[in-house]
Amino acid sequence: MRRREPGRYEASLSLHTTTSRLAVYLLAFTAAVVIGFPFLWMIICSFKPPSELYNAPPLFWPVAATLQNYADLFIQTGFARYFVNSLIVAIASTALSLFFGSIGGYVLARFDFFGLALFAGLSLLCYMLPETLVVIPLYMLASLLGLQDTLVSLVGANTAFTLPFALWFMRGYFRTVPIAYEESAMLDGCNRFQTFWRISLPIALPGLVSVGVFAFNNAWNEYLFALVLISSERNKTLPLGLSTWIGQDSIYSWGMLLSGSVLLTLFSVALYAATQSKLAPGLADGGNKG
Amino acid sequence: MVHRGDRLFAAVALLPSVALVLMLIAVPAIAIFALSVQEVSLGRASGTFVGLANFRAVLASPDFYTALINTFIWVVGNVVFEMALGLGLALLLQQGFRFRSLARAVILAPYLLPTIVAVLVWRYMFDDIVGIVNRGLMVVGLIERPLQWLTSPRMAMFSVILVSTWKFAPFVVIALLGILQAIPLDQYDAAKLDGANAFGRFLHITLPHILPVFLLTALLRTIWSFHKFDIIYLLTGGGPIDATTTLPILVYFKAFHDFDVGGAAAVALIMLALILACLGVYFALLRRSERRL
Amino acid sequence: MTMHRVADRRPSRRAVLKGFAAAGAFTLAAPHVARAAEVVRFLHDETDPPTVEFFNKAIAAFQADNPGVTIEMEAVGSAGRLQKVTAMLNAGTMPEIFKILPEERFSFGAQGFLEPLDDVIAEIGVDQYPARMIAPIDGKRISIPYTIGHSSVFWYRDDLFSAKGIAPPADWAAYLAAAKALTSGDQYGTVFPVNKNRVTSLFFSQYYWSAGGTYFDKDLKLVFGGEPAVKALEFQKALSKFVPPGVANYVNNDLVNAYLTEKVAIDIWAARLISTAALNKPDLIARTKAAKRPAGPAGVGVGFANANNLALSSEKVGSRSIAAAKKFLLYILTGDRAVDFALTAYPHLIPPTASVRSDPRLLAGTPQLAGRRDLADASFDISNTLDFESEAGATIENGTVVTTGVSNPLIGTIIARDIPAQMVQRVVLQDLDPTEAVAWGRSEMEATLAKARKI
Repeated sequence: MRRREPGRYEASLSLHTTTSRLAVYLLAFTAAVVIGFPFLWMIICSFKPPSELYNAPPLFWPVAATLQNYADLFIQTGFARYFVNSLIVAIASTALSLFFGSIGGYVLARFDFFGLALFAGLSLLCYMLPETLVVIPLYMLASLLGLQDTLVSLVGANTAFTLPFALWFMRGYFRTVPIAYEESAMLDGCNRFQTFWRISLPIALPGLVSVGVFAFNNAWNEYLFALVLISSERNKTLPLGLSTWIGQDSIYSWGMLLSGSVLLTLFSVALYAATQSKLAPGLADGGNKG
Repeated sequence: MVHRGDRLFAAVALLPSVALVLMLIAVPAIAIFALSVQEVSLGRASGTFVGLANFRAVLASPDFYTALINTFIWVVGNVVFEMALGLGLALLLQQGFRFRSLARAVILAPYLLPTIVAVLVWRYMFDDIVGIVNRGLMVVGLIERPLQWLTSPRMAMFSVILVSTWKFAPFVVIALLGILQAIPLDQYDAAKLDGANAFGRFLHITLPHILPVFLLTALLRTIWSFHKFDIIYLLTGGGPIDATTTLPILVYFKAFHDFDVGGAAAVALIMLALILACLGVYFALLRRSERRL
Repeated sequence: MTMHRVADRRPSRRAVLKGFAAAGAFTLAAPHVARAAEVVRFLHDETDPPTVEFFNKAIAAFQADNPGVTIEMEAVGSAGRLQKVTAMLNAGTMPEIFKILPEERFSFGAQGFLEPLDDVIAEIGVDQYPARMIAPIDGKRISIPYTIGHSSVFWYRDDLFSAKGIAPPADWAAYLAAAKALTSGDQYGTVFPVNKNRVTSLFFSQYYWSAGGTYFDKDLKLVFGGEPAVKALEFQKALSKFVPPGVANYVNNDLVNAYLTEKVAIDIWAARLISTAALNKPDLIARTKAAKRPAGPAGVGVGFANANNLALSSEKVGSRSIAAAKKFLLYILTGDRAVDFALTAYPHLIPPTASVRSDPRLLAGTPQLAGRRDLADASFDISNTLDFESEAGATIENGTVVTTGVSNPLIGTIIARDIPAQMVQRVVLQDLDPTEAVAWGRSEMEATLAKARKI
C-alpha cells in the first residue's frame, strides 16, 4: 500500500530540469510577495509611532520604530480577553462542525432515505439569504432561548453556518471511498459507526482539512453574528472587540488597529502551519488507491 | 447496501445538523418571506399587508437594475479570478520545493484575516494622500499620476474585486490542494510512459479528478460572492455614486437608510430566485462530472 | 495498518469535544451567577478607550454607593449601533439606557418605545440646556443630551496662512481665494466629503443655511430649493477644485486623517480633529488655530451642532429597572462625572449644560492642550448653529440665527436617504448643473415625504 517515496509524493509535474525548478521558485516567490505585501505593510506600520502613520508621502520603513502600539493594545483594550473568547468560539465551532459535518456528510453520501437529498440541497439556503436580514430573527431566537450575550449562542450560530458547507464537502469526499472497503469491514463485524470512523473517515481526511480551515476561519473572523448576539465586554470576540473603537466615525488609533491585525493574522497562520504539518503524513497515506 | 441499524444511524447522525441548519434557515426565511409582503418600517415587527406591491416597486426601480448589473460583474469577476488564481496557486503549491510551507502560509494568510481589518488596511493602502500603493507604483515608474482606486467609477469595481480575490482565492487554494493531493501517482507515471506531456497529463488526469471539488468550490464561491456585503460596503460604501452598489448593498440601504424593510425583504427573495437558477446549472454540471469519475 | 494508526489518534477528539461542551455550559451559566437585585443596561457608542475607562470607574463608584443596583455597560461602535438597536427592539430586549440619534426619537417616541425623562431634566434644570436641544416632542421630553456635537469649527493651519500672508476668510469669496492660494502640488487648500452619507448632507446643509435657505418652514411644509440651494451647490462645486482627490469616498474619519497628514490647510470639522491630533501628532496643534466661519450670502456662517442623546426605553420594549436607570442617568450626567467625561476626548465632547461648560476644571483642559483655551472656546461656541430637527423656519436677523422652536419629525427620512449628499455628488462628481440637481433633490424629498406620511 505504501508506494510513495518520501518527499516526492505530491509532485505531478517532474522537477528534474533546473528550468522547471527555477520557474516554480520564481512563481512561488512572486505570488507570495504580491499576495503578502499588505501583510508586510501591516507589520512594518505596526511598529511605527502614530505620527508616522500620517506621513504624506508615506515612507516605507519606520523612522523611530516602537512597540508602543502593541503595548497600548493590551493596556487600553481587552485584547487578551477578546482573544480567549474568539479561541473558545472558534475551537468549539470547528470541533462541532468537523464531527457533525463528517458524520452527516457520510450519511448523505451513502444513504438516500428520509428525503436526505432534499435536505442537502435545502441546507445551501443558509448561504442564500442576506446576512443583514438573517441576523435579526436569529437574535430573536437566541433571546427566546435565553442565550443572548453568551458564547454558546455564537458557537451555535457559527456551527450552523459552517455545517452546510461541511456536509456538502464531506459528502463529496466520502463518495470517493470505495464501498467495497466498507462492506468488507462490516462483514468482519464492524457496525456502521465503526466502519465510518475507522475506514471511511481516514480516507476522506483531506476534506476534513478544508472543512476545518473553513470552520475555524469563519468563526474566528465572524463579525455580524457576534455584534448582535454579544453585548458585554467580557464576551466579545476579536473582530467585534476591535471594531468597537474602529469605526467610520473615528478610528481611535491606527497603530492599535494595525498591531491588533498583525497579532490576529500571525496566530491564524501559525495555527494553520501547525495543523498542516501534523496532518500531512496522513494525507499521503490516505489517498493512495493504487 | 443498506444494513440493519443504518436508518437509526442516519437519523442520529444527522439530527443535530438538521436542527442547527433549520434554525439558521427556517426562522429567518419565514421572517423574510413574511416581511416581503408587508409595508413595514424599521423598528416595527410587522406592518400592513400589501401583497406583491414591494416586488412590483423593486422591479420598477432603476436602482434595482443597476445593482443587478453590478452584481453580475462583481460575481463573474470574483469567481473567474478566484478560481483561476486558486487553481494556479494550488498546482504551484503542490510541487515539492523548499520554503513551500512558508509560501503556503503567506498565500493563505489573506483568508485568515477578518474582513473589517483587511478592508481598513486596504483603505489605508489605497488612500489618496498616504496610500502606499500609488506611492509605490509612482516610485517604480509604472504610473505617472496617482490612480483613483476607490473613487473612480470604473476603478472602484476593479479595486473591490481585487481585494475580494486577494481575500478569498486562498480558500480555493485550500479546497483544491486537498483533492490534488488525493490523486494517485501511478496514473501520472503511466501517462508519462505513454508519452503525454505536462499539459496533457493535466487535462486527462488532474482535471477529471478535481472537477467535482472544483465545481463545488466554484458554486460556493458564486453563492458567497453574490451575497457578500461587508467588503464593498466598508471599502466604497457602494460608491462612487452607485458604481459598486450590488444587490446585498441595496438590501442594506433599503432596510437601514430608506427604512423600507418590506422592500429589502423583496430584494432578498428576488436574489434567492436568481441564485437558485444558478444552482440548477451548477448541479447539472456537478452530476456529470461525478459520473465521469 | 497505517489506517489503524490514524484511527488510534482519533478518540482524543471526543474528549476535546466533551471539554468544550463543559466550557460552553460554564460560559452559559456565568452571566447568571453575578446578577444583583436591579440591573440597568446601558448601551452607548463613545468607545474611545479613555472614555470607556471613565465609564468603568464611574459605574464602579455608583454601584458602591448604590448596593442592589448593577450597571451593565455595552460599548458598541457607531456603525453597529443601529443593527443592535433594531434587533433588540424586535426581540423586546432593549437596554434601559441607550444612545439614540435625533431623528430616531420621533418614530420611537410615537411607537411608545421611550420613557419620558422630564423629571430627570427638571432636576438638572431645563434652562441649563440650549433651548433647541431640549425641545419636547409631542409634549414630552423623551431623550436627554449627554454631549453636544459641534461639527463646524473652522480649523486652519496658522503657519501656512502666515507664510502666504493670508488672513482667515470672512466670506465665501475669501474662502475660495484662500483655498486656491493654498493649493499646489500635493498641498490642498481645504477638504469636505462627497460620499453618500450623513456627513456630506451635513456640510451641504451648513452652506445652504448660510445662503439663507431652510428645508422646512415653521408649519413643517417642505420649502427646500431656490437660490440658496443653487448657490450652496455652486460654492461647493467651486471649492471642490481645492480638495484631495479621494473625497468621494471620505467618511468622518478621513476629515481628521486628511488634516493630520499636514496636506490640508483648512478643515471645517469637529474638535475631534484636535483630540486626535493631541494623541497622534501633538506638534500640529501648535500650528493650528480656529477662526470664525466665513459668512455666506445671507451674512452669517451658519454651522451644524446637535445634541447627542441618551434615551430611556419603556417596559414595552424590554426595560425593567426604570427608577434605577433614572438615578444612574442623573449621576453620570452631572457634577464631576460630567467634567471627567468631557475631558476624555477634549475639547470634542462638549458638555450640554451651561454649568459644566463653565466649570473651571474643564476650562483648564488637559495637560496636552495647556495654554490653548482658544481651541476649547471655538469648539464650545455653538452660536449661529442649527441642526436638522430644529431648522424648520429658522431665519437670520441682525447677523444671528433665530430658530422657531418647532421640532421637525419629517426631516429624518430625507437625511437618512442621503438626498442632500446625492445632490452634492451629482454636482461635484457628475458635473450636473446645480439648478437641475436642486430640482432633482426637491422631487426626491417630496417622494420620500409622500411615502413616509403613508406609514
